[in-house]
Amino acid sequence: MSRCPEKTEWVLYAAGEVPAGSRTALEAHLAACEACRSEVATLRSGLAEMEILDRDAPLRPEAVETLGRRLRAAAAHTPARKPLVLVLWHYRWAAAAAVLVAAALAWPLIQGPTPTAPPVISPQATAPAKIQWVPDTEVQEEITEIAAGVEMLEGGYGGTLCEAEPAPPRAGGDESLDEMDRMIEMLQAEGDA
Amino acid sequence: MTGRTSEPEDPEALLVSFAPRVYGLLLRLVGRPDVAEDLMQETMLRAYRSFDTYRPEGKFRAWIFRIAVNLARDWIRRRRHEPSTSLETEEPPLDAAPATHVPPDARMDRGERARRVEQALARLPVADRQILLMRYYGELAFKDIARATGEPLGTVLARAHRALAKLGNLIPEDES
Repeated sequence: MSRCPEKTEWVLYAAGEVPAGSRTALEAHLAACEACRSEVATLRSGLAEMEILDRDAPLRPEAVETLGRRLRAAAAHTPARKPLVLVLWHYRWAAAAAVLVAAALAWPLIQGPTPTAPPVISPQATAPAKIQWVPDTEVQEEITEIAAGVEMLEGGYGGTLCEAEPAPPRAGGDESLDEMDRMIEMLQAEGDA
Repeated sequence: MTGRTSEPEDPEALLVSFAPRVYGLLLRLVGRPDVAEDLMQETMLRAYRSFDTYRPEGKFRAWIFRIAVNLARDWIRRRRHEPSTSLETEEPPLDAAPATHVPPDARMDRGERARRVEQALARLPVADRQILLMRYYGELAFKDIARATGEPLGTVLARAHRALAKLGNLIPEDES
């Protein structure tokens, strides 16, 4: 026997709201399952019990009369609907503005792409750049200049960066540079520790 | 009833034709004929005023019964908060069950079975009861009830299962 379907599925089955495809499978299960047969019988019995009640409850004639009167009164107080043209006329300026904006936005699309001449590619542009060889002497001179600059920096500011010995005291005693030196010493001390 | 499923032509006539059914549902939901009558009138007026919001692709019955059920639930909720009413009295008392308000001649024709069904319905939780009543009075499929109440179909079916099982066990097997 296959696994029993959910109870809620039997509600749909008992109420006749199961699609034909599912119904066949459910009926096959029912044929083999006593518990589900009992379940369906109870649900059908419950549905049948409801049928004993009157669908149209006896409503007092006065109540129906009152209802008709109230509905007519509501109809009298309900403003008549404006024709669609009048409703649209109320928004005529907004509609005109919207049309103008839409037309302006759509204009380039209507015109289509502007024909332009294909870009001319010059032979120079495509040719590989020529390498300019610099004489060795010039390179040597540049290296020398850079080395001199580094040496100057080391002597003036960064001596302690490269040398273990403390830098000579600077003339003028710039406080910010002294502060920097102290920080560097502190960091070095921490590194050593 | 054929015109009730299609787009309504004359709102006033259509609403009046639905009045007894809406009243029947409300009566068994709130258990008091005076309240049911007031709620029925209110349902119809609200439906009339918001007729523009009714969408023809939906079921008119589902739409109008949803208004009725919402009004009834609001009334029940308000009553629960009344100082003189305890929380246990959410369900209408059995003394106020609809059978007592049916005209005497009609009540004589009712059998013991009908009385028991009405009493059993009155004992059901409102949320479960409204599912059965919407199905019976509105002749709505469970999926339409789910759409009208805004509850998932599974919840609606679970409520229906619980309510139908109680009703189904009312009558002993040898009698049914």
